[in-house]
Amino acid sequence: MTVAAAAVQTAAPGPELIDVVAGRRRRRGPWSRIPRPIRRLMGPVGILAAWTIGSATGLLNTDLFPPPVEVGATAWRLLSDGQLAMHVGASLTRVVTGTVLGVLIGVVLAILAGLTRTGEDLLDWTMQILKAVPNFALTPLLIIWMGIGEGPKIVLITTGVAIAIYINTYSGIRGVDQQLVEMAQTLNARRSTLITHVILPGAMPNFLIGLRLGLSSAWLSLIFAEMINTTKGIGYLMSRAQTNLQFDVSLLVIVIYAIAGLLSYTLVRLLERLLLSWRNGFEGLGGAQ
Amino acid sequence: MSSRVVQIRGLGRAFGPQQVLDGVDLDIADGEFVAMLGRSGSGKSTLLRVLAGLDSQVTGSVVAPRSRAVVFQNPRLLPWRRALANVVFALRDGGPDAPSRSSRALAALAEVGLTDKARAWPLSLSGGEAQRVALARALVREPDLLLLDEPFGALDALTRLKMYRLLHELWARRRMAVLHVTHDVDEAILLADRVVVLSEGRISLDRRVELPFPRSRSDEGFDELRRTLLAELGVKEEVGHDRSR
Repeated sequence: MTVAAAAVQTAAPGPELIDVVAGRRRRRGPWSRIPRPIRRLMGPVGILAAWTIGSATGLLNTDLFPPPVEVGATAWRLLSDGQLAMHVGASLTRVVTGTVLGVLIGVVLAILAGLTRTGEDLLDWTMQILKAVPNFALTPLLIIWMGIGEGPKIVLITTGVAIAIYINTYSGIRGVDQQLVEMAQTLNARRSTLITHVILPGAMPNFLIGLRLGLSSAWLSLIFAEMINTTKGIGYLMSRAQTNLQFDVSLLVIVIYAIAGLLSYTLVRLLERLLLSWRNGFEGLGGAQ
Repeated sequence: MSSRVVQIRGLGRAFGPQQVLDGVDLDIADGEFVAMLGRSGSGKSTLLRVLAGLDSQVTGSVVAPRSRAVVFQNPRLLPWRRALANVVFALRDGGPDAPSRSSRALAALAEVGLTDKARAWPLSLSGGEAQRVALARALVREPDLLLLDEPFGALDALTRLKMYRLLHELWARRRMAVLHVTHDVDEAILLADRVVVLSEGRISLDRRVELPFPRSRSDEGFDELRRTLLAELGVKEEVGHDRSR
């Protein structure tokens, strides 16, 4: 036995001593050896597997719940006759147009309300009220006001995005570190410099949260928007499938929504890495584990 | 001899019913290093903020150079700009044209010994390094008056010693006037030409430090000045009591 250990034993009646690192060192188990993208794919793949097994064993009624292979075949059929591209294209155009407009409007309003007292007085309550109103409640009114063309669809998406962007960017601007603003003032920074170098970069993390929420709201709005009289878009594909009891097409549309959501999320994560690289600068763009 | 760069007369500042500054008179000569001591809440930071142009709700008159720069206790670097860009930021408005900005900023970083950190993100810098970038950002404007608000307050004791030396070198080279607000008596004596104590809203003691440079705590006269200043601040230095008594 070592001297140190003996000393610990004879050191009574002192406090009980324990080895605080033993058994707590991190070990790399088999799980952590799997590459991260694969670990992340396990959830979606698991759902797909459960679906396949369910259909194969007859647990799922294949008339109401066609197996993935059948949905895949349907996708291929719609893809080769150009229908899928047309519908997805129409939907994507709506989402992108609505999102771009919504981001622009949201940012401009957030800057006005965030930087000036007048802007805040005029805008903030209005925007908070609009946030409280589910914008799908506007759908029937929008149809009456704007007809059944692209107009009300874009407006529906735009308002959702604009509100999400406004709420978050505004609170980001208001939350900018006052100490940094003072610092810029002692350097005689112009107002424009203050906005572009201090306030907007400071609000960027919140803006990106707004963008993430805005994008999911955009796809949600799309579903409602495409319930308005239309003959194009994945929402139309979905409602037509429902009327014709084409469950394979319904499931396909759900998969498309899922993929769209995942891609939007990935896009925002990418933007975060690019625009907020200063947060974990010492790890560089390679990113944290 | 040298001209006055700061002239404060009857400066008053109240926060609600509390009169934080109450008739401060203070002159600082060109190239003079003045340390200002005071207890927490004595108004020394308020006075510095007035000189920095951050607070104008005051009574009395304050004259100071147009070209001033501040270093705060917290480095206040823009975290989304690299170290060099933070220094360049100080030259953006009203400074030189863009190409010469970055060479001047690099020179300022070199002066504080951080050339190799020019491309580092502020969040990856140590406390001492970040404060040196803040110092470079202040110096790059070639101020006639440098305002320091407890700039080393958040640094560890070892880093602080290095910073004293750096600050003294920079001042000895550039000879701008400095107002250094601190609550560290030793720091004040080590660095300053003159030490003033702010208490009850006015200057209660104004003492020239006659010790020659380089200074150290073991210098003759250091201890005596230190005791005088501590007494003025209302502090006794003994720690611990004799338990056997």
